[in-house]
Amino acid sequence: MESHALPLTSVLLLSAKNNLQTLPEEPPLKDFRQALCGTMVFAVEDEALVLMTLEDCLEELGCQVVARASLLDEAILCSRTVQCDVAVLDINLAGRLVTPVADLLAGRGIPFFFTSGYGSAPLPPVHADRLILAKPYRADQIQRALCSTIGVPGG
Amino acid sequence: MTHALASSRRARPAALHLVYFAVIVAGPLLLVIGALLWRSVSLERQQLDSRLGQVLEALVADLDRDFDRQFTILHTLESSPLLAAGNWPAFYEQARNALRHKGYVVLVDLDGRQIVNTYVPYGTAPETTGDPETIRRIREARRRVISNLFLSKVARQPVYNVSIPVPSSDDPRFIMSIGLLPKAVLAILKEQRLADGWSTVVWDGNGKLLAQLGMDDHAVGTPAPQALRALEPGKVTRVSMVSPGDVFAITARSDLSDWRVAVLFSAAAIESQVWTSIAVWGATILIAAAIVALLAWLFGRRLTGPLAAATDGARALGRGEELTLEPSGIVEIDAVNEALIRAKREVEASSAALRQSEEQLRSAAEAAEFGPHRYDVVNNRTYRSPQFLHILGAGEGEATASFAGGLDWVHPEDREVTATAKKAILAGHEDRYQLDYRILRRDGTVRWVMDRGRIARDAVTGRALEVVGVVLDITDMKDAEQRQRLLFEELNHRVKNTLAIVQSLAKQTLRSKPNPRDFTEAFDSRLLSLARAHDLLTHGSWSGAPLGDIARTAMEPFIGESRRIVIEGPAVAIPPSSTVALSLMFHELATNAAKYGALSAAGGTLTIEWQVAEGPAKSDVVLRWTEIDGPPVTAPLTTGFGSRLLEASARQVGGKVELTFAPTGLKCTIRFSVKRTMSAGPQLA
Repeated sequence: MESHALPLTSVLLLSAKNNLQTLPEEPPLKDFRQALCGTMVFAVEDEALVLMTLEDCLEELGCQVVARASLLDEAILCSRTVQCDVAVLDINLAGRLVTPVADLLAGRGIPFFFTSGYGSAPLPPVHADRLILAKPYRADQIQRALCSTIGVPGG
Repeated sequence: MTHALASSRRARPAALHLVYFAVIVAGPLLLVIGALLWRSVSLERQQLDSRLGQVLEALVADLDRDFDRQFTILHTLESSPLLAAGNWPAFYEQARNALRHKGYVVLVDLDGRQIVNTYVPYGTAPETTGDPETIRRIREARRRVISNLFLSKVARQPVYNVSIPVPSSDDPRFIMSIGLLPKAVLAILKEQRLADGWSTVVWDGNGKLLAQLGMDDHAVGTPAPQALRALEPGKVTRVSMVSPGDVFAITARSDLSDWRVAVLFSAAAIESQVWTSIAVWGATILIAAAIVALLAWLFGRRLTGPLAAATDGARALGRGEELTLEPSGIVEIDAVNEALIRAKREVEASSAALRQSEEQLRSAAEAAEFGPHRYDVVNNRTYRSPQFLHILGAGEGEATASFAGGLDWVHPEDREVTATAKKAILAGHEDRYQLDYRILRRDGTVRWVMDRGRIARDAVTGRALEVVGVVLDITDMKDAEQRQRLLFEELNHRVKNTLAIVQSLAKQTLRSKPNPRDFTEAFDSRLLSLARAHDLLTHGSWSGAPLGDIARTAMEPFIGESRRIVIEGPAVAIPPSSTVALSLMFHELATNAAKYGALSAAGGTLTIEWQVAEGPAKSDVVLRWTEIDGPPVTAPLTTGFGSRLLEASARQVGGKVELTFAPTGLKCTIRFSVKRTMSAGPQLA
């Protein structure tokens, strides 16, 4: 799945570029809904309601939520095997930092970004450069963050 | 003080001043004594001179008196008829009787031919006289003569003549003499009965010695000492002689002869007197001086003793030692001592006040745990109080240090910044400073300190001279600050999370209830449920809540007269992260029951019961939601939001949910685990 996902992202990237150049008057949201179509996402969020909304949002963006986790142990387990293009990680899972998950995903070369209710996230320096989306967030912010994280233009 | 006392005059001890005083008083007295001594010595000389003169005068008078006696004898013989008659043998007899061995009579004519000489038997007289000089002088002057020494032709030794012309009134035809031995003169000298040291000398007109006290017979006729012969008559002169040595001498000429008489007094005798006087008086002066000095010393001791005691007292006062001063018997020194004792009391009082103030500062420093320190910029020396050292965890040996040494204590991570800041403060113009930095104590612990104080600057150049400050251990404050910051972050996090939940709630509700009225009703209900769950959490200080409380709180809006709700189960604590999820689950199930299930009709019963299986690390909870006696189940909960929420929430609490739509009513089983070691308070990470 991963080997398939990367070329797809590259194609989408190219097409998104072309779309931008040929159809500049079109609103970006529509463009990238297409651009993100089929992107496989691993969603980690401890609040059930928020996770539901994130899933809805991702599906609306054309993404496919291939795995989800609410607790850290579950998330760590998933992150070892999950096949996805991108991961969305809530920094705080029932009071525990998501760092081990981030380490595993980074080790596997899977791009990800964080969501957090923290003003300044207590992340270790190795993940300091990652994008952090502050809660509560809007659907278009998720979209931009996804684009930016997987390298699709328009983030 | 030393400065004020220093003057151009050199200070000397009081004893020396007293000696000066004694010398000033005794000096003139000693001078007077010296002058009196001098005067007595010169008086003695005058007395000697006068005595010499008297002795001389008496001697000359005695000599002349003796001459007169000889002349009287001669004049008596002159008037003898035998002489006039020229009866020489008879005259010889008469003259011889008249003299009776005290000399002899010689009668010569004007040519010197001897007529009578009583020294030898009549008729055996030598032809001519041995004293032609007298013949010549009488023939010239025609008056009586006393001759110088000449060698007698009959006596065959030096003799002298006392001679008169005969007749003495008229043209003389004869010369009559009495020949006398110098012994006669010596006898006269002896008659003076002079004391030791005195001497008399008589010599004739030729300078030949006639007599001298203590002289040898052989010396008669020898030249008299030249020193005496050269003397000016009538004047006392000091003369050096072979014998008897140095003398004071005075000479005079005999009135009746050419003879000269000298009176001598041994210079040694008089000088020994003078020296004796000087010795006696000198000794007296020395003894007097010694007595004066001794008295001055004794008296001075009465002054200097108390003065020294007062001085020692003042020194002791300066050193802060015990002061013992006794009454000195001297008003001024007693006044000084009194002033010292007063000063001591004041010093003690102010020392006590200072000690008290220091003690207060120390106990304040200890109580407040601040450590005073002082930095002498000029000498690059920092001085640390015991409290400062205590904060550093350092020993007494590190009570002073240099600027660089002072930075050794700063935590390596803060050292450079602190050093730069401190240098900037010294170089700047501010009078006050405050720095926060970490220190690394010797025991390895890291503490936060606040270092604040004041900089004393040169009024003209503005150069920093001294820094006085305190360090305050603010680790607890820093920790509290940190905690507070974390708490704020946590609060922010929870608010944001809650807002995200509310946002999701709104979105999810909107999806299933697009109608605004339905939406509002459902959203309000869910929001209130969320709010009650939050109340529970807040009530339990975000440490979670008992499962029973969660269930009862969630069911509260649904309790009514016709509704039977049973809530049963052992106590089990639910962590805060699961509290909201369970609350929302209960709310959804209850809403469904109120609309379609056991709570929608009278007579229905809802039972919420749970069992807890206690494990070593966690408790496994099985919660059963059972509805009975409700209307027949027609609308399964599986549609839409409800089932999704149940599933997602079950995942959130780490469990599983199982729904059964039995004919008697809905059954829902929720299985989940709760960790035994629950956190007691809000988790910060």
